[in-house]
Amino acid sequence: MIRDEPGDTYWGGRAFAFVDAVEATKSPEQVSLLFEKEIAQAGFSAFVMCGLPDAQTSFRDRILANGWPAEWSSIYLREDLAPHDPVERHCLRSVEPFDWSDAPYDVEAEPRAHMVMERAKDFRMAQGFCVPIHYGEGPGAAVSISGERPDFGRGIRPAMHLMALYAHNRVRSLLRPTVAKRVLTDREREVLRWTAAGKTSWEISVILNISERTANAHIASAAHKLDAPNRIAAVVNALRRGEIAL
Amino acid sequence: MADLHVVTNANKHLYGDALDEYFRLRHKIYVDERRWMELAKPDGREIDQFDTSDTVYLMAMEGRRVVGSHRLNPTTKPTLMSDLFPQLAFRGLIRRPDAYELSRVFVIRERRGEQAQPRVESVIMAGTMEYALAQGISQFTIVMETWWLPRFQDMGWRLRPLGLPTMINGMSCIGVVADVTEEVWVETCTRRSVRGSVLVWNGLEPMAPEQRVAAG
Repeated sequence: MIRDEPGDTYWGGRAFAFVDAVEATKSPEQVSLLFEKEIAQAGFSAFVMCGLPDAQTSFRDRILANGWPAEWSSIYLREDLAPHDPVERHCLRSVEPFDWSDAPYDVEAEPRAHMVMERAKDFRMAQGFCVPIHYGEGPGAAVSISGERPDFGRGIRPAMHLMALYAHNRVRSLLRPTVAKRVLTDREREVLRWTAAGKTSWEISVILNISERTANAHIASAAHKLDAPNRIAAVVNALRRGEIAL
Repeated sequence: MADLHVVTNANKHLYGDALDEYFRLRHKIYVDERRWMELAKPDGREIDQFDTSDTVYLMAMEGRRVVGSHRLNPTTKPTLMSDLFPQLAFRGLIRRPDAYELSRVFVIRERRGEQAQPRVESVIMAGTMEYALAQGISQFTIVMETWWLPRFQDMGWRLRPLGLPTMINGMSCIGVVADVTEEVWVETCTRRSVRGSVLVWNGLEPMAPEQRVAAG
């Protein structure tokens, strides 16, 4: 076996530059553009990032980023090819990335699987590389890239593997709903910040020039909104929900 | 919910039985389950050259029962990355007094998969960040199977690659560095329903970061 020694390769450098660049992106579309450009350097012309199948979600709703030729995409959706796709199926069984040619199916017994792989070739998706992603919670995801005759030379697979993981993670982070809407008033946050700093209600009342009773009322109200039994729990919950920072 | 106990050379005398169970669990998981046969020991306790007086064990315990763990070693001394897998860090090894290597993360079989929240895995990950913040540790280096990288990211950890994924014994492995920040700690707690502090400092004085700096 030839060991990839990426330290001195062109592809190692490209992959690390990509990891840095993708962290600075502001939208899933930007991630897709960067990723598309990078994989094109190795002759991959198409990609898709999607969640792995679960009982409820259709393939359309599992797509995170679609870099397929538009026509292939519409055929795949219209004819509901996902359940027959041997690449997708293999993702459920493998934690390691694999070449499309290593996704097993029975040509005789599974004509639809064969048909998916054959028809993809009409869209310059003849050979591919797929990175399954498993979280330990939930159904996981996959990034699959393909082309007419992509370069599978030394150092390419590890670089594609790394870039796929970071591209996917970035898209996922950008799509993640932002922290639960804030519920505290500015004053409640201010009082909790001082509580977090170890100040008593009396000290807070002096600092903010309010009565001790009012300081206590702000704390009680914040604790109530945060579903916390006491002021320490209120501080912890406020930190967790991003209401205050230390 | 499990607590995460900080066990060091200074308080290990309080954890005699638990540590013994811990090394047996490691043998069960790494040798019997995962078949890393080179770790096999005749006495059924998996102990290697990185279990030293500098090692800190963060042990998830339910009562006196060990249910999962992490091991921390200073990067200024020999680590898995420096001595066994230097090819995973060709962008440069990290050796700093405020950087520790994490290794041997595991959860016992009965506590894996879908469990009541928070899961043991989440308690370990949140508690590890909490420990680092309390001790003034700013980075963790980790040698991992590459497919674990998204699992760490899914818990809010920010990992940067120190090298490319590399095949070792048929598994893709990678060296990474994780930044320690309060934000990551809060993120892990939030995403995984961990209610704040999970650490137990039995017989130890938790040292605040500013004290540590003063102590030199």
